[in-house]
Amino acid sequence: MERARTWRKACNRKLAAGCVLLSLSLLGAACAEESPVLELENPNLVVFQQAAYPILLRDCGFPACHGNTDRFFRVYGPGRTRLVPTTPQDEPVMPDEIQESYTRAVSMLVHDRDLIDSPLLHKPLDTSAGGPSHAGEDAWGRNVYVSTSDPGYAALVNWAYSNPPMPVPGPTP
Amino acid sequence: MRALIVMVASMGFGSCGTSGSPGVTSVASALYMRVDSNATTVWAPRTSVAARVTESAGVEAAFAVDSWTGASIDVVTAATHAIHEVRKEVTAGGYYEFEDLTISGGYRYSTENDYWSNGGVVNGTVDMANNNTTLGFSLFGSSDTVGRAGDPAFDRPQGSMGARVSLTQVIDTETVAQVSWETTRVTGYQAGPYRYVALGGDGTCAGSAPYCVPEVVPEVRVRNAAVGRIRRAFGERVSLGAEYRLYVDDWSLISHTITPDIALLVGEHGTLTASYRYYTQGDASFYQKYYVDQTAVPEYVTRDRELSAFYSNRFGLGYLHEFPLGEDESTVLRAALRLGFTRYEYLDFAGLTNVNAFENTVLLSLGWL
Repeated sequence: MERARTWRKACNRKLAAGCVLLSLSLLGAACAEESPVLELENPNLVVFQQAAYPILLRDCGFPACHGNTDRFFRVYGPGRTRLVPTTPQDEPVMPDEIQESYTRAVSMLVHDRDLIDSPLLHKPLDTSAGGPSHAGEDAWGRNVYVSTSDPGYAALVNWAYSNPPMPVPGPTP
Repeated sequence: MRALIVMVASMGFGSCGTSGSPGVTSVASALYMRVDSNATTVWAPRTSVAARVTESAGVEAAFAVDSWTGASIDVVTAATHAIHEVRKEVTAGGYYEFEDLTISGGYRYSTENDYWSNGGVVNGTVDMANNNTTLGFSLFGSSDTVGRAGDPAFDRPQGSMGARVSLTQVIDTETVAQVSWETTRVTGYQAGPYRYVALGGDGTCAGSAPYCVPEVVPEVRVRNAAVGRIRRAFGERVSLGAEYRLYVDDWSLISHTITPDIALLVGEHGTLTASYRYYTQGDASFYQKYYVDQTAVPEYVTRDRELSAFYSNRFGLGYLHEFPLGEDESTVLRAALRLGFTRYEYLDFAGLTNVNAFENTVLLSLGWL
C-alpha cells in the first residue's frame, strides 16, 4: 500500500516536472527568487530568567491575555496562570514554567526579515513607536510599550540579541 | 407584474441599444452567498452594465463586493480571533470585432484592508472554417500587495503573468468540443499573512506545540491547467455536457476535476440544469500534516489545507427563466437561481476532516437585443 502510494507520488512529480518545464519554456525562464528563511534564535536562557521573564510575566502574562491557554504565546508564573493549574498562585516559579515561557518567547522571535521585526519585539509597541495594532492597549489606548526606550521593552530587546552577542538596535525617539 | 417590469425597464433605460445600434445592451445584478461548517460566511453582490459603442465595439463595467467572515480551523488553530473582511472590486473592459477576429481587454482593481490588486487581460478569438472552429488566446497579469490588518509595516508584493489558448470545434450540428491550456507564473509572497504553523506537539498553535512560526512557501509557483469540454444535444430539449480539468504546478500539486451536467429546456423560456463535480488533489511537495522537528524550522512550512490532499463532491441545481418584454420582445428579463452543496474531505490535515458548504446565487438581468 505504502509502496503504491510512493510510486504514485513519484509519477505525479514527473508529470508535474514535465508540465512545468513546458510552461516555463512558454513563459520564459524563471528567475530564481528566494523565499525567506526562518530560523529559531537561541537567546541566553539566564538573561531570559533574570531580565526578560519578569517583564513578560508582569506586562503580558495576565490570565485574559498571554496567560490564556487559547493563545499560543503564554507566560506562566506566580500571580499569573500556572503551568500546573493546581499550583498555588504565590508558590515560587517552577523550572518548567521558565522553560515553557522561554520556548514560546523564542518562537515569537522567529522572523522573516529582521529580529527587531519579530512578533515579540514588534507587536507590543504602540503605533506611535512603529508597532501594529495589538489588543494589549490600556484604558488610555496606549499599547504595552509606548516607546522603544521603555525599560521593559529594552530588557526584551537586550535578551533577544543576547546569544550569540549581536549589536542591539538603539531606541527610537 | 409583467407591465410593471416593462415600465421599470423603459423608465431606467429608455435609450437602450437594439439591433446593433449603440446603447446599453445589458444590466445585471447577482448575489452570491456561501456558508460552510467551518465557520466561514461569504456574501458577494455584483452589478454589471454592458453597452455597445458602435456596431462592432462595446464596453462593460462591473462592481463587486465580497464580505467574508471566518473563524475557520486555520484561524482558530493559530489562536487568532474571527476575521471579517470586505473586498471591493471594479472591472472595466471593452471589445472590438473585426471580420473574423475579436479583440477584447479588461482592467481590474480590487481593494480590501489587507490586499490590493491590479490586473489586466487581453483576449483574442479567431473564427475559422466557416465559424466551425474558434481559436482563442489570452494574456493576463496582475500586480498585488499583500498586507496584514493592523500592521502597516507588513507589505509584501505578489505578481502573476499567464497565458491561455483554447480551441473550440463544432463537430456536428449537435456537438461542440473545446480544449484549452492555461499557464500562470506567480511570484512573490504567497503565504497566508495570518497563518502560523505549529512545530511539534499536537500540530496546532493553540494546542501543545512549543513553537509556532509564520507560514513560508516558495516565492515562485508555475501553475498549469488543461481542460477538455464537450457538449451534445439530445433532441430538442436536452443537452449533456462533460468537462475534465487537469491541474499541475511546480509545487508538485496535481488535481483532477470531472464535471458532468445536464440541461433541460422547460417550457418556452426556462432552462433547468443539474451538475455534479468531483475534485481530487494530492499534496504539495513540502506539505506536512505535522512538523515534528523542533530543532530547526524547515525551509517551507505551511498550514494551508488547500495544499493538503483532499477531495470534494459538489452537487448543483440551477434554473434560469427568461421573460421577453415589449411588443417586439427585444428586451429580455432573466432571473436565475443556482444552488450548490459541496462536501470536502480532508485526508491529511490536523484538526479538520471535512467541511460542508452550501452556496446559492440569485441573478437578475435585463438584456436588449
